[in-house]
Amino acid sequence: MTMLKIENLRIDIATQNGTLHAVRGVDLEVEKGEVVGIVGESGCGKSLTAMGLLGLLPRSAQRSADRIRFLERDLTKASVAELRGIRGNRIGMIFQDPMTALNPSYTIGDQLTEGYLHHRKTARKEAVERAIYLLNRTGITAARSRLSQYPHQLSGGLRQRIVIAMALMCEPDLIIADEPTTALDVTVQAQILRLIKDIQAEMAAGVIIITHDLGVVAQMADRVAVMYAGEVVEAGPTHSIFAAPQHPYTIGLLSCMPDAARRGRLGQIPGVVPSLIGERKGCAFRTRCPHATQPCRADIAIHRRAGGHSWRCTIPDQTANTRKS
Amino acid sequence: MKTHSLLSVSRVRKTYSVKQGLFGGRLPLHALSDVSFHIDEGEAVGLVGESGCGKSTLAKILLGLLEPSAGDVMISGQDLRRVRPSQRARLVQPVFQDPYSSLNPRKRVARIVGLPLELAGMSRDERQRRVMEILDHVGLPRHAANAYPSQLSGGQRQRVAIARALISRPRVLICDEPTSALDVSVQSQILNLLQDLRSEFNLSLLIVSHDLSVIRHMADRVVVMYLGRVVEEADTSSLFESALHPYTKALLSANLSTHPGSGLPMIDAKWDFPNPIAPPTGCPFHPRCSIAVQRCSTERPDLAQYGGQHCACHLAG
Repeated sequence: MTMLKIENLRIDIATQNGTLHAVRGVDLEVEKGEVVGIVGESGCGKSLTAMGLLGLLPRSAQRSADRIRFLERDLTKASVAELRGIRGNRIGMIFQDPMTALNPSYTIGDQLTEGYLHHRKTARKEAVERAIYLLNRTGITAARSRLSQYPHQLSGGLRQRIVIAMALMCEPDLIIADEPTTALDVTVQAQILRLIKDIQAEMAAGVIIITHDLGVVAQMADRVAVMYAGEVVEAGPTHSIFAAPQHPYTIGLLSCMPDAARRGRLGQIPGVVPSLIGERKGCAFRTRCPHATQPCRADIAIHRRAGGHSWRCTIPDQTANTRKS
Repeated sequence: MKTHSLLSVSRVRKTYSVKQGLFGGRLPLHALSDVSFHIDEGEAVGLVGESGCGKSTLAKILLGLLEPSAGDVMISGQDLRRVRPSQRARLVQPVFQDPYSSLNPRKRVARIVGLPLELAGMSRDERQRRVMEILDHVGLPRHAANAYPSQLSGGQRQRVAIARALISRPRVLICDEPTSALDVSVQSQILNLLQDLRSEFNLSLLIVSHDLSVIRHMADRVVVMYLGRVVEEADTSSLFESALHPYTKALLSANLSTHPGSGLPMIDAKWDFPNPIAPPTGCPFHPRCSIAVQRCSTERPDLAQYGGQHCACHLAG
């Protein structure tokens, strides 16, 4: 069952130099119980896409979309009050830096129960029990005594587990995790990711995981969307994206990764990301693409293959080039 | 490769005094305890460990930015403490993690890169020539000389930082997380550049990183630190193929593969990093270790040799 379907999401930001089109017509679907990875480099619009769907954008940003269907509702038509009833309730959020995601002047217990009390209108005792259950579930020992502690008394890994517990308080249908492990050490990262994956499977929740780390998507996601300069340039099942990438940007990105099996020089993507200000015609990647030709300046067709693998490129099959690089 | 040690550290300690709360007294924090290692001429050594393990403190000591509390740092046969700063600058130079904060935003690139030469009293024309030359080497266009750091991308800024480090022709480059603030596609450019410069200038490198794939790609030899101590040291292939220390094994297993389906790793170590002010007795890793025995909590293992590897674990070998 498709729980989330975003169609043609656009986010424009007014700047002094003109309108910056940060997200340019993104389509994204999440099935129930599925982990979807959005991967891309800084400024590609991956975090804004998630924030845009939640309606959490800075004032200077303007969102438009044909439709954002979440469960049975269209979020583009939802009122502010309806959105508040969904955020933190039906959609849980896990942010990158647990130090800024937690309020330093409230106890862990207050922060964990706040959303639950607001959305469920239950007795405090019930909320506390739910918080303790989730702290235990996330592997935190002495859960009850943690409730009276403040964020600064806990390590980074502990804080991130609390942020995860907080996102799960109201049993959300969808969890959005924006770089959930980027600020953490590697051993803790693996443990946090496993925790998210286990809980997701248990609750059959949908997950959108946003990351720049190809290792994280490879191991976490069922499907991947690769974003470049505000567009999804390639999307599909994780296996086919990594085994047979079709878009030259995806191919380039994978070749940049240090790999034990392939010593020597790393792949490089020459040039820089184009400016996002103003309208664009043709392929966003053509200024850096090794295969760019004249047709790349015109509108780019989306190729689709069985199994849901799709990409935006003038070249219908890159498999030969993949093997070369 | 020559076997002459260009830089050697022996039994270095660094103790900070940390204030405990508003009215609390001060307690010692042992950031480094008896750390010894060396970098040979032309060698690239990787230093790996998690936050708080003392790797950045060690990098600062090697740069002469911090005084060790005890122990010796020898560089090119001289005691680092006796080397004048101007001379030290020609031996060892840093490349820091964040090219956004390590460059002065109010100075143009030519000035930033040329400053070491200016301080050495070099003439303007000569400086200008050397700056242009080094910009070519690090792959920056010559017109970048007139730019301010804010006009450059992250990767270009890191190239500026590398140019500044190289202009005084040092023997050793200390790279403290040189790519962790950069995107993947930019990271690969900087790592390739460091490799090229290494052979071009016969540089020795110390690569400090928490990213094992970067270390594996760049280093000839790896030093693993945990809570201020070296727990394992080995050449790169031995370390990645047959790590001895349980902490190294945990680190290696935590590295996520980009081949889908290898699955999320099961980490054979408990979560929590110990409090460095009250470090565990015995082996510093024992509270997180899955194979620890009674002896590990009372007796601290010394670094011992196992074939070509060094490891501090009672149960190694």
